This record gives sequence, C-alpha cells and structure tokens, in this order.
Amino acid sequence: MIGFFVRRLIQAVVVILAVFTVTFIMVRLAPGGPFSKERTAPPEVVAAMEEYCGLSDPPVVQYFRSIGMMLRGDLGPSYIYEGRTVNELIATAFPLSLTVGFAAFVIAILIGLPLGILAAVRRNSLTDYLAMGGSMLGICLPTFVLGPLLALVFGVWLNWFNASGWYDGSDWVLPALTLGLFYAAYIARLARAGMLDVLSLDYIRTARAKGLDERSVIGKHALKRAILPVISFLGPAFAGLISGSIVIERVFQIPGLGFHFVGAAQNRDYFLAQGTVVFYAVLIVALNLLVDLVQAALDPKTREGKSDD
Amino acid sequence: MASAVTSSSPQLRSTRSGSPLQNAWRRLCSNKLAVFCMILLSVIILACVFGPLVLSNPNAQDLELGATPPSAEHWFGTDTLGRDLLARSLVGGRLSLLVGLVATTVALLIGVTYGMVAGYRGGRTDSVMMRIVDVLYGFPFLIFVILLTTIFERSIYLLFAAIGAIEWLTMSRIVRGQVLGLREMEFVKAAQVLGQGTPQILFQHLLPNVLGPVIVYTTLTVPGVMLLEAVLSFLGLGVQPPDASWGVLINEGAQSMETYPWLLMFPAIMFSLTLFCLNLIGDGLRDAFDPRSEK
Repeated sequence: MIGFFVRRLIQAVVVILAVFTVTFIMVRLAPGGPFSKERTAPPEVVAAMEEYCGLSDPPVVQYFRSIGMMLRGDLGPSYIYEGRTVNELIATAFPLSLTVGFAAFVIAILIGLPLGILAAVRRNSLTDYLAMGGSMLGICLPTFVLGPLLALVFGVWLNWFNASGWYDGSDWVLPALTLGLFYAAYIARLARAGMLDVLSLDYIRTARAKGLDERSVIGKHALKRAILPVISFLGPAFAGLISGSIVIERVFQIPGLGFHFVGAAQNRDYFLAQGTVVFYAVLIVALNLLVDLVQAALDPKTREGKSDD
Repeated sequence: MASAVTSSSPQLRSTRSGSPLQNAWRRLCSNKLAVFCMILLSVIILACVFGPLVLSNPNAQDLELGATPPSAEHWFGTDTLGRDLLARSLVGGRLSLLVGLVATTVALLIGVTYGMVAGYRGGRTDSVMMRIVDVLYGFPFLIFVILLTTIFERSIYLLFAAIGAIEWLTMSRIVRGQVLGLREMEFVKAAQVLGQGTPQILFQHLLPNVLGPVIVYTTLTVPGVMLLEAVLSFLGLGVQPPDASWGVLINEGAQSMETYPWLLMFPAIMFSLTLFCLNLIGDGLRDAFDPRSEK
C-alpha cells in the first residue's frame, strides 16, 4: 500500500512538471506578447514591465526561473490585471469555482447514485425507464444548453435567482445545478450497470438464500462493489468538472478560475495562464491520487497493481 | 444490405447463420428505439446535407426584418440580423456533423493503432502505454485546446486534430483489452510462425476481430466529439462567425435568449436530438454485438 502510494506520488510530480513544460512552451509560442497590441502603456513603461517580468532573458532562463518561483509558491505577476499577482487572482477566483464545483459534485452524487441503484433494483419497471430516460436526457443536454435554459426559466421568467453574475449568496445554485445534473446522469447510468453486474453474482444469491432482507443485501453486500465503476469514473469526472466550470463560468458570467484562464489565454497573460494551468494540474493530480487511494481501499485488485480493467 | 431480413419472425433470429456483422445488424434492427433513432438521425443528416441547397443563403442579412419569431416563411424564425434560422441551423449542422465525422476518424486511427500495439506487445510496453492513457484520462484537455487555439490561427483543421487527439483514449483501452485476449489464439500464432510482420498481423488478422467493439465505440465517440466542438465554438474558440455550427448558434442564441428565446431553442433542440440519437444507436449497437450485455 505504501509502495503504491509512493509510486503514484512520483508519477504525480512528473505529470505536473510535464504539464508546466508544455504550457510554458505553448504560451510562448503564441504570436504576440502580452503588450504587443496594447492600447494602454507607452513604450518605456512596456519595456520596464518586460524587464521586470524577465521577458528579455532567454527562454531557458525564464523556464528555470519560473520553476524556482513556483517551488517557492510564487506564480508571478499578472499582466492584464495591473498590480495584482497571479496568487492573489487565484486566491479570489478559486473559492468561487470551488463552491460551484463542490456543490455540483454533491448534486451529481446525491441524485445520480440513488437513481442508478433504484433503476437497477427495479429493473425494467417504470421507475427504471423513467430514471434511464431522464439520465439519457441529461447526457444529451450539454451544460451550455442546460445553463442558458435554467437561467431563462429560473432567472428571467420566475426571477428566483440572478440569471448571471456573482452577487448574492444564492448565485451558486443555478451553475451548480447545471453542472451537477449532467454528471448525475452519467453516474446514474454507471451505478445502474455496476449494480446489475453485481446482482447477478453468486455471493448476492448466497446472501439472499440465507434469508437476508433485500435492504441489507443491496445496502450492505452489493453496494460496495456496485459503486466501483462510479469511483473509477470520478477521476475523469473531476477533470470534467474543471473543464465544465470553464463553460459554466462563461454561461453565468462568474469571475472564477475558468473565466480568468480563458481571458489569460486570449490576452497572452503568460504568468496568469501558466499559473492557472499549473494550479489546475496540482488540483487534478491530487484528486486523482485521492480517487486511486479510495479505489485501492475498496478493491484489492487495484492495490496489487493490476491495472487490468 | 441485410435489412431485408428485419421483418422475419424473432424466434428464428438466433438460429440464423451469418457473419457476426450481419447478425449484429439483424439484432440492431429488432431494437425499435435504435431503429427509430437511425431514421431520425438520417433525416437530420439528409436535411443538413441537402437542405441548404434549396433554402435561401444562410448568411443573407435582412436588417430591416430583424429578429422575428417562427412563421410560415421562416420556420425557425430569423435572428437579429434577419438571417433565416432554419438555413443557419442546417448549415451549422453540416459543419458540426463534419467535425464529428472527421475528428472521430482521427480519434479512431490513433486509438485503434495505439490499443493494438499495446495489447499485442504486452508486457512492459503495454503497462507503460496504458499508464500514459490512465494519466491522460484524468486531465482536463479543454485547457490545452484553449491554449492551442490561441497559438494557432483558429481553423477547422486545428479543430479536427485537437479534438481527435483527445478523444482516442477510451478507444485505445477497449481495443487493447480485446487484442490482449486475441493474441494468444491459434490464428495469431500461425501468422507469427509463417513469418508475417507485426503490421500485417495487426491490421490483417487482429483488426477484423476487434471490429465489433470498435464500431460500437466509434458511434459513442461521435457525440463526444460533437460536444467538444460545440463547447469550443460556444466559447468563441472553435468555428468562427459568420460560419455557423450548432455551438456557434447556441452561443448566439444564449446571448439574446431573454428577448428572442427561439434563437436558443431551435439549434439546441437539433443538437440535443442528434446527440440523443447517436447515444441510443451506440447503446443499441453495444447490445447487438454483445447479446449477453442486454439488460
């Protein structure tokens, strides 16, 4: 178990470094520096800024200096938000993204898991058809369609929430719902398939044969194995939640991390783009590590390093 | 080709002989939902391909007309520039479907080759290759695509390549799993003994045997690819106006949905219907190729 953890930890560091390198190269390959099409600053200010940011040094020097800065937890200054550091921007933007993402995750699990299990237990009943029909609908209504629709109905017509922006305490509801329902649909399908597989196994028949009531057969015996496919989906799902948050923050005009990232990429804000991506990478790698550990705890096969699916 | 047998009595189906592909096709055709989706999808595709030929120019503006709700003249209404939304939806669909098709082909080529090599080589090569896939799986690629689109000129070819380069992961896993089981079979051993090269064994002997799962996951990849294109276009990073794709139209519609809701509704419905059909056909194909999985 410890060996497994150490292997994954080394791998995590390699992944983060690779991500940073790719991002570093890509951002600098982009035509036009952050100040090239500038309407604001006079040339001497630009030159001073470039000197301050070290843009006149050769790329290799910049690369290693950036790594050194990051190891000290300094992500550098932002170009487009004058006078603010990337650390500050992430610190103000990330809580917004985290609120929405976490709420979406909870919604996805709370709706998806029970729905899928219920559908499997009452297979081919009306409940099953409704649940699976609903989840198919959820998969086919992507976030950038569902988001505007929810905003239209609950924001504009019913006026329960703000249709966009981040002003009130309730502004997380619509974005989280949009993002969460999409993943709830996926999780419901996975949970149903997982549960159906487990229910046909011998040990479930044994459990039933020894007279256990259905509740504990499902809840105690079947559930633990049935949610394995759901857990292995969580890694990709976290990645998806982050990608999704980029779209969602655009739909609802939330100044979160994704919103800043798109802006940074479009405006060639080197440090902001690179800082956001590395931050994302650390986040993703940490979450995947967590998923791996949970999976290893639940499933001995993964623990022994057999990656056969 | 085998569609003539669809009307035959269901009891006889299992005893009929035929190639696995024909059997799967027959089973697919007995799945009413899948057949319905195939018909609906065909209608959408035909409308997108041939519709723009008979309709007015999708980019023709009529500023005096402006945005009008659906009417007899403009079935889907017109947008703020007075452009016919039906024509734009169909032309947009054409582009979305084209991206879906081409990018899926890219994903197919990468995924199948990668998976076959990993599965056939086995051992250390396999575990390293699959570990890479595992790692890539957990990564939000949208971020890199967004960076890519800022570096290069935004073009549809970049879109094909970028999306194709992302969506091959599942395919490679599936193919690798199949090949891992197949490579110990006699026909592969025989080919090796005969001294055939690896590429020949892979593409001539192994490929036909993994065709079933490949077809199923290709069908399921298309909606994923189309979704990604739409997301990028929605963010303004994919297809560029005045060209339209469903993502572009949904983006335009979302911006003015409060006053002109139909601008969002129609492209969204067409897009979602297409995804719906593709997903259900994919599910149907999965059941058809693997009768045991029917639940």
